[in-house]
Parts: sequence; structure tokens; C-alpha cells
Amino acid sequence: MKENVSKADRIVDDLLPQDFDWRELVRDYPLPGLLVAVVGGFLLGRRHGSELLSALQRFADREVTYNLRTLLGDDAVGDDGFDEN
Amino acid sequence: MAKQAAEDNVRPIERAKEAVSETVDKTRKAVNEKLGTARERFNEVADQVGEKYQEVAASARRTTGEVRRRAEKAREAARERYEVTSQHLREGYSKVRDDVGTVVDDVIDYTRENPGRAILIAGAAGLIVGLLFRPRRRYGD
Repeated sequence: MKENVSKADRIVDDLLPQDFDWRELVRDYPLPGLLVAVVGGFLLGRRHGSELLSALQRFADREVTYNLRTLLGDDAVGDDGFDEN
Repeated sequence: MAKQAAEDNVRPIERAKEAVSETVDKTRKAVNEKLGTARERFNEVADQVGEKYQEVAASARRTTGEVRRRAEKAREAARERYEVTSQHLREGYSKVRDDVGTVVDDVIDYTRENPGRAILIAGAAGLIVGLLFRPRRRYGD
């Protein structure tokens, strides 16, 4: 049976081990699966929240710089993301 | 002569007897009158006491009936209010239970249809809550 794999499923596939059939597990036990996800997210945010926010900020910074360079050209934006002039 | 003397001796005795008898009759009559008056007075007082007793008893009965009627009315009102309140509580509880059951069923259905999206949403919600409740580092740590 061909399964419709969404983008969210692929993201979870990337996060979890390949041989772990998480879809079947979540379909069999939906509420415990959600509870595990909530608790995991909570612990991740509580223990590594600052690192995650920093990484998110760096990612957004890079994306903005990349898009500005694409729009304005490489000469308009310096390496640090701001106009040199 | 002797006969005359005997008759003269008997007459005062009879008169004395008659006087004593008359006195006794008068005394008896007076005592009977006083007794009759006392009996009438006693009967009047007894009647008055009986009437008072009847009035007090009737008043007590009326008061008792009124108190009982008001107590019954208050009890009926309290019972009615209790019934209405408990009915509202039962309806509210049933409605909340149905709503929660519906939400849980919807969540389960959505999770089975979109497991990846549901897991990511749940993880993101937990992550945000964890970020909000993460321990703050003090300066100098």
C-alpha cells in the first residue's frame, strides 16, 4: 500500500532513526505519541532553549543576508550582512 | 296538780327542742346556700380555666400548624432549588464531558491521518512551553 508522505513526515523521518516505524506507533497509540512529543519538546526547550534560539537567530540572519544579496547583488551587502557604505 | 307541773316541765324542753331544730335547719340551709354558691363559683372558675385552656390549645395548634406549613414550604423550596442546581450541574458536566470527548476524538483522528504534522505540532508546543519555563542564568554564571 502506497503511503502518502507529507513534508512533516519527512522532517520527522530525518529526526528519528530510519528503522524506527514511528508512523505505525503513532497511529496505534495517538495520545501517548503526542504526549511523548510534548514532553520531548518541553525538555528540549527547557534544557537547550538558549542554544536553539541562538541557532534560530543565526539561521534567520543568514537567510536575510542571502536574500538581500540575491536581490541587491553581492557588492551592496558586506560579509556581516550590513551595507559597507 | 302534779299533772300540771309535769306539763309545765315538758313544755320548755319541747320549746328548746324546737329552737335547736330551727337553729339546725337554719344552719343547714345557710351551709347549703354557701355550698351552692361555692359550687357555682367553682364551676365558673373551672369553666373559665377550661375556656382559657381551649383558647391556648387552639392558639398552640394554629401556631404549630403555621410553623409546620412554613417549614414544609421552605423545605419544598430548598428541594426544588437543589433539584434545579443539580440538574444544571449534571447538564454542564455532561456537556463538558461530551465536548472533551469530541475534542479528544478529533485529535486522535487528526493524529492518525497526519501523524508527522501532529507530532511536530505537539513537539513545537512543548518546545515553546519549555522555552517559557527554562531556568534563567544569572549574571556571572
